[in-house]
Amino acid sequence: MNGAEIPVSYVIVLTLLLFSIGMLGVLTRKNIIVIFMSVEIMLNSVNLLFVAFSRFWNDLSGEMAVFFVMAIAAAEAAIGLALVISLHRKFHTVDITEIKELKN
Amino acid sequence: MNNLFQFTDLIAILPQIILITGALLILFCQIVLPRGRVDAAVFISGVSAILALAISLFGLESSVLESIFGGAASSIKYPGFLDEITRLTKIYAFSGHTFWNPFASIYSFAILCCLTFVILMAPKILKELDLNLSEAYQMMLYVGAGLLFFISANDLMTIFISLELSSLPLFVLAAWDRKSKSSNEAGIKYFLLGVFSAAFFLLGTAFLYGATGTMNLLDISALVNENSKMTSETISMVIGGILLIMVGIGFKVAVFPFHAWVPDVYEGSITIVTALMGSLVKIGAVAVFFKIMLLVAKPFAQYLMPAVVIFSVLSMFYGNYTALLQENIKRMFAFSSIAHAGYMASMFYIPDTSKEGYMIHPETSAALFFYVFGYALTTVLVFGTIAYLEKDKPVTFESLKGLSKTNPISAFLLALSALSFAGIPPMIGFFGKFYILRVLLKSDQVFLALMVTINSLIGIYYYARVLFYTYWDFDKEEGTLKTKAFRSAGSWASGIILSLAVLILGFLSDPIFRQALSASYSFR
Repeated sequence: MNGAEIPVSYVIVLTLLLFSIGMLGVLTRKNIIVIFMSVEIMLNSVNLLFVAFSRFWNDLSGEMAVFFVMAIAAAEAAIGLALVISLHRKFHTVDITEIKELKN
Repeated sequence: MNNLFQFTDLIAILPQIILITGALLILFCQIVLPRGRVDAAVFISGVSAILALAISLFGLESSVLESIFGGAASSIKYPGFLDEITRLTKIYAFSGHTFWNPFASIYSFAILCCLTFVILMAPKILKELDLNLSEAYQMMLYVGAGLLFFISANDLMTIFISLELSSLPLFVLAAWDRKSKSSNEAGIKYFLLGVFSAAFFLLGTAFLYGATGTMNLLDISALVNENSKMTSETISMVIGGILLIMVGIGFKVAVFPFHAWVPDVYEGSITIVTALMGSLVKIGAVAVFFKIMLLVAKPFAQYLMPAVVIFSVLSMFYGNYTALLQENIKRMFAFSSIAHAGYMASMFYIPDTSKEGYMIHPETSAALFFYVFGYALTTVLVFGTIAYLEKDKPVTFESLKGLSKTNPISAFLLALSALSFAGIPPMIGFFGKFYILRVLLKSDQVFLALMVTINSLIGIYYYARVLFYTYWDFDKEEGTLKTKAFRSAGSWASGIILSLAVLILGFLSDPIFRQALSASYSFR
């Protein structure tokens, strides 16, 4: 290994950028599926951070966490998409602003 | 912890094993039994919840733990004060990923109580709504098991996974009424905000891991309490991580800036699921919030204290103010649950300024537990009553008129739980508020104590409205709600036990408080 490793602070900045992109997507987008994709970006940015810290500490638990997070993201996707299908049957739309059966 | 796995590890998670075995048995029955599978599911879920409840009771007695774990439990003999965090109960299981100590036991006991009552109440309601599928009971058991793992977890990754294990079935349960638009909407809203908050929790986890190099909560606690090992960078990372975790769990507790899902989801879901969400999830989330604050917050109390005060005070005022404006009963109780989250949040980390440094008063944990337990029991009672009260359309204050004549039992139970929420003696809610105020005053937090008192006074107005509409004589012969209270044996049983608990448990508060107090030494 040559000495030119990427410092962990770069990865932190990248993670925070990706996380903010995902967060902005959740807050501004209207399509439920796009919102859900933005959440996935947030989860994956955290995965990146876990791997970076895992390397920084020479500790494997961070890398293991990534696998758990990936499995959980898949479970979330299964339930979320099922909910979206059920919602689409009722409302005939996946636009979050048009779903306002409950008063706000 | 020389061995990777010991037999006693399985005993430490016995309640969870029972709940998950029950859930899998229900799945098995769906394949094997051609009909009668729903009855089998009701039976299995009820039995496994009660069995798990009985086992969690054993955990309250440290002598039982000692006999199982061979003297390992002896370190929970309540020594010194909170600063000795590194001396802990040794009942680790699975290499320190979970533990079983009195702290986990009392909260497990509370969760399993509420789960049992909800399972007893659910079948008749679901049958009448034509939604009585055996999967509902399976999901309820998964929620219970997830929350038990949640409170007994000692590893950030285990906490995250159990958070998801308890959330994912709840997303499904919130959208359980496929025929109703509002239930679907509640499900999707709960799902999106739940997943969003989980991402924040995960980022906080990653920061704590990055700052300390371990995911074990006790190791993190030992590291952050040792000032010499912390640089300014790691300190800022830990504080950021704790704040992000607070955001993630704050969504579950529903404190003020993260409350947005509560009214819609509580209103949209079928009412018996609302009872599950309002009680079980609140207990679990509050327990974990408190545990994390207790273990890692102490060195950063001066930074985190303002956040806790803001969460607490704003939740109280927002919840109470919006609850004043509601006409729909379920929505009113949903907003008032935000106010109650505020009262609970006032306990999350209050340093005892009457002592040296930032320590928390030893009674804090016990007061918090008593409040949460009483709140959860009352929530199950009130939403169970509303579930049997409503028919086709939601219950509003207007429709409550004359209820004391047409349905005196439901009217009485609604009034009883409203009084308990409002904090009127001798109901359990009064004793919860009393203990919270006592701890706040003992640790010189006069401002928070004042806020709790003012908000309790505001709360009395809208809780008294429930009494006013149900018992006031409006010159009407009959109320508009013609349903009968509790139309099945199981719901009668749980209704009677719950109302007795709400009435009497306050007088028995001393043993419970002592038990909770000894549990608060679990982390020492």
